[in-house]
Amino acid sequence: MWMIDGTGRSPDCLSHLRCDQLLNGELEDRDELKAHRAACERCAALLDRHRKERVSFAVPLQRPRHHRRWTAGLAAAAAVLGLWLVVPRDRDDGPGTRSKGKPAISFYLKRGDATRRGRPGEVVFPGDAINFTASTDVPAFLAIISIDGAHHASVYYPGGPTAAPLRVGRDQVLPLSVVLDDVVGRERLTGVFCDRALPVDQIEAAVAADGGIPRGCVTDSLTIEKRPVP
Amino acid sequence: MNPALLDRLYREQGPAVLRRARQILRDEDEARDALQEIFLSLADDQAFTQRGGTTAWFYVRTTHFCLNRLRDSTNRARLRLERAERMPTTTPARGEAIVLARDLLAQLPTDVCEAAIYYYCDEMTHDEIAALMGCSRRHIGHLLERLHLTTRTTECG
Repeated sequence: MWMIDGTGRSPDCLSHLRCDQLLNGELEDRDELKAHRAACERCAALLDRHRKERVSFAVPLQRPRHHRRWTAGLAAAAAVLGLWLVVPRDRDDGPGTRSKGKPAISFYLKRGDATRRGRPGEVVFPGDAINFTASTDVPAFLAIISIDGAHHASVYYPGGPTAAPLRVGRDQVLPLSVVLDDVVGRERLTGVFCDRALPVDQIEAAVAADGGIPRGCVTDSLTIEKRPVP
Repeated sequence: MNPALLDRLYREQGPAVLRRARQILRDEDEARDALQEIFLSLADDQAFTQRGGTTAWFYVRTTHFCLNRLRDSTNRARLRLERAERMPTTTPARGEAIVLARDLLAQLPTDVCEAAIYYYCDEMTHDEIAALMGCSRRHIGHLLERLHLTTRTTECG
């Protein structure tokens, strides 16, 4: 007879951790362990449940998004140039709705060795790199979503699965940049500033659907015109 | 991280990570988000190496991650509301103990929460919990005693 404690198991019984370690090959399946399972219905059933759990595990792993980075160069350029000017943009929310303190995104453009501030409707080429800046007067969580010329949505920022925290400040250079691919056409870039760290997939889906921005979020958009390399 | 290693870890550890996330967060979408976030964070970790204690590492990592998520004020309010809606009015004695432990997680000190989860959800011995948390068996006894005292206080109060 097993001595059962308050959790309904004897000291020799398997915990969930031991079951997983056994199935992962981290625990040697010694004779006494086998003998215990043969005599203990609880442990035999528990291990069987773990095996079935593995067989039925069918959640696909989302692959990380890869961004090519040239952050250090841009951050240094921004610091050296001291660019703190507010560049006018072709805002899609109309000129009358934007106040000075509204969260905003902008960007630097790097082509070859040259780095400069991006302009409204900037003509860019595949292989150009852009590094965003963001401004906010209240702490926020930010994601930047692109809808390219083929109407394909991409997350440009952040690299992680949830919107990244953003401190109060103007024209903060973000620690991630992207190299533009070869899909040409007008590309809309939308900064989504939220009051909480929402999953970027949710934000991306909302922007791609052209509406239904999650509650507690505000957006700022700009466009670039991507053309084939001349 | 090497993609092949990430795939293998996901196959081996993913079920336990998802199980733990479901136990703590009590929300399928939140649990799946936690599963993805934990493995995505590993994808960028070049220093991670698979060791003999990998499974235990995932248990601890997932437990910490989910407890932190639960303690987030916005999530906590929402999850607790949803949980209250889903919670049956009567549960078996053992189920009731687990439900009660979950409901207390947002209020209890982290080490007490951890010990409670390892004890009630994973059915570990005090020795196993002590090894996992890097403390003495006696300390685990104290943590569980604090849990029981809090539970009794809550029930009476």
